[in-house]
Amino acid sequence: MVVPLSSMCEGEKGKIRKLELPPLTRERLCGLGFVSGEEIQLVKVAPFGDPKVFRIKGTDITLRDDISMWILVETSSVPLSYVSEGDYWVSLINGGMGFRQRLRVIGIEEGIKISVIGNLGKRIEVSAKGIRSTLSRGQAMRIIVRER
Amino acid sequence: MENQTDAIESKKIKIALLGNPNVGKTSIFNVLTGSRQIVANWPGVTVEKRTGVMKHANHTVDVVDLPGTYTLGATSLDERIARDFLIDERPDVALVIGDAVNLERSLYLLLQVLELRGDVVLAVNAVDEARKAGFDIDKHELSKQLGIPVVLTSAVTGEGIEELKNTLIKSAKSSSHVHYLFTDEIEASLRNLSDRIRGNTSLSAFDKRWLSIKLLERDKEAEKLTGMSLDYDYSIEIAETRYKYIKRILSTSVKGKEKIGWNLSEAIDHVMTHRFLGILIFLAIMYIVFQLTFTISGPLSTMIEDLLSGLGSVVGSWIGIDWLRSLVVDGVIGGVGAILVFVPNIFILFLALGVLEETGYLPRAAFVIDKLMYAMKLSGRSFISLLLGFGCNVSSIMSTRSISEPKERLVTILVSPFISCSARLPVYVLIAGTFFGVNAGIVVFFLYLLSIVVTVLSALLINKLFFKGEPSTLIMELPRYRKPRLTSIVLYTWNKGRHFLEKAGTIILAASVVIWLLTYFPTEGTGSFAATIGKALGPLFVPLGYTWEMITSLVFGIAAKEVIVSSLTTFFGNLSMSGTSLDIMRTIISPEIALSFLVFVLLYVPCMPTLAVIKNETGSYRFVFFSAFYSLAVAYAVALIVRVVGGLL
Ligand SMILES: Nc1nc2c(ncn2[C@@H]2O[C@H](COP(=O)(O)OP(=O)(O)OP(=O)(O)O)[C@@H](O)[C@H]2O)c(=O)[nH]1
Ligand SMILES: [Mg+2]
Repeated sequence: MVVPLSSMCEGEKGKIRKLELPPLTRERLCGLGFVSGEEIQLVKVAPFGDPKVFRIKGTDITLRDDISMWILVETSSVPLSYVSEGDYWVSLINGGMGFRQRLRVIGIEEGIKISVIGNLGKRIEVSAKGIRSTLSRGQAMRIIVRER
Repeated sequence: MENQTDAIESKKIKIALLGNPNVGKTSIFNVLTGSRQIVANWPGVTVEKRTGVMKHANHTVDVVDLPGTYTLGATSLDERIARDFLIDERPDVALVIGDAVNLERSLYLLLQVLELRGDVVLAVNAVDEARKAGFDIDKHELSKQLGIPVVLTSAVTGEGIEELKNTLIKSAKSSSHVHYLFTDEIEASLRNLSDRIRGNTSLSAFDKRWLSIKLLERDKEAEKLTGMSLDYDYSIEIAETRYKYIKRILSTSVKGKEKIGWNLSEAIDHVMTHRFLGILIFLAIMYIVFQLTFTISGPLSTMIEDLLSGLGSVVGSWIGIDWLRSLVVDGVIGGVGAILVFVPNIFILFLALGVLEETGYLPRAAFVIDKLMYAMKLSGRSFISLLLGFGCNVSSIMSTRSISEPKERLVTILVSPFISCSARLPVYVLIAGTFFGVNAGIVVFFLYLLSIVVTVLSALLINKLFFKGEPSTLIMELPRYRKPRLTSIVLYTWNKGRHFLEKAGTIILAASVVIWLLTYFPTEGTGSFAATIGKALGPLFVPLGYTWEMITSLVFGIAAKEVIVSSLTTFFGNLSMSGTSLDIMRTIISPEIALSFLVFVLLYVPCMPTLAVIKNETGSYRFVFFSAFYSLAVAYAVALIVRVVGGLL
């Protein structure tokens, strides 16, 4: 799945697809190694959520969201319903306010870590922020997760 | 015979040092030329070109250290300086310094340089660190693949420096230009463009292939130069080709990549830039820096004070002529001595700043603070510049050259004089010590806090007034942590602290003599010229309640803030030379006036050198006047508030 660099989760890796930035900024980033096909990792988020530190070609570069949101990266994201047991990151929730609110109550939000405990049959058992809960397959289809 | 060869060489060889920021260009420059330029572990330390002389095997060569740059595209002033030097001044050899731990990116710049010109030498620096990290770099293979001389160096251990010198001299005498090839499609366009450029005789001085590449990249300068503009943009393809080419070269010449496992730098970073702890750690570090500045230096200052007062009485007893004794003892020893007492404070402050700069913490602090700076439409980068201002506002303003956003840079320049520089420190210590005794520390802390508050508010105001709040941006590399080396720290402290001593020996000495003269002529005391100056301005300061001595010292303080201390000691001090005691002053004015005076000193007109550098960096007197009058107004207003509120308490 292609997402803006700014929406990656801490620790997540991706491959750069495209830089949708003005020429001068793009050129500067090129010199730092931001070219398509390059692997990039979000290493760290600053105290107030912005800026973020990215690791590319072995060095740490900090960018603000206003730049990193225009850098598109390919990440290995899939709907929660397809994954097997293990730890994942919630990258996207396809749904309205109500759906999001319901998920928030059981600890599931974009950007947090989620553990799939059981994925058999109609129901998926997960745990997020220490809260264990069970999701229906339909709900799980609308939660997009990525591997670390 | 050998002298003859020297004489025949009519033109001096010129070598330019280029490379990514923080790869060690200045360190190499220092070992090549024996210079002592400041090096520090963050990108953007060098912001101007510096020339030094390298003597090697009967050759005398000019070596030019340049600011770091990631590409030749130049988005900030310091990068522009590097690019323009390379293109306009045409050095005989371009020495590209690369980082052995991060060769890939270093080679990207190298390729851009190779497109522009020949006679390029690559120094792969910091091999000591690369070996520790488990990299094995084959310089012969690199050299073969790139077609240029390659030397592995370490500015720290001295490895490869002799070889580098030899290689540089050899390259200066040869002349070769290698090219690497792009995709067929791009090569076809390049041929086509080169042919069109060939027709233009005014461009004969430039490399046609280079101009063509730049045109394909839609480089603005190249478009201006050639008057040509293409309607397609190959910049992405060209960048990707460069990186592919680099990957191929490195696959055969560098072995043993990435040791996996526990990484010290990462572990430290985890704490230093922690989401919750990060800001606390920063505040703690700043607190320690200021504590060190004021406590450790205490005994040293007392020693210097005793020494000087001893000197004063000895010299005083030698001189028989009254006026001469007064000039030497009160004027020179008293005036300059009042400043020398603070040498330990200043040096320890710079020592602490040096450690922060050498470890690589500064960019981390900038990262942690960035969001707060964003509220002021500034960035973590401008935060670094402002932080340097606690040492000296001039170097703070110089360092803004690497801020790529012009508006952000201007705002940073205009607010930086409000950061309380080390020259103001003697005034605080002297007056707070005289008036507030045990609470002096709190008063000084309050002044530093006020300095930050006024800086923040001014940034907000200037942004609102002039720029309608356009945001800044942040692209900054976090260097790897380095253990501060004693030699670098000593170099740093001496380089910065020396300035203070130089001032004491020149401007402050001169001012002390002038002030003494003005105090004793035409008649001593209230009939003197000094009193006349203060009294003439007196009406303006009635609301603040300053005496003529204080007003006159403020006038002289514009030359250099320390002069305020020399003047006050000359005006209020007594013959026995008691450098730090102004007891007489305490009987004349009340504590709230003293506090208001300190606030005034903190905020009023920047010193002459700062005003000069504002003129230089902004290129306009408009901002000098703005800075002078704005700060004067702010100082007056805040000082008045302090006096009135203080009077009520
Ligand atoms: N271990 C090691 N450290 C080095 C070497 N060369 C430089 N350094 C360190 O790298 C840091 C940066 O050095 P500088 O010489 O200031 O780098 P620069 O390229 O001039 O940096 P800018 O002027 O900011 O572009 C300093 O902390 C140096 O001590 C080296 O060969 N080995
Ligand atoms: Mg430098």
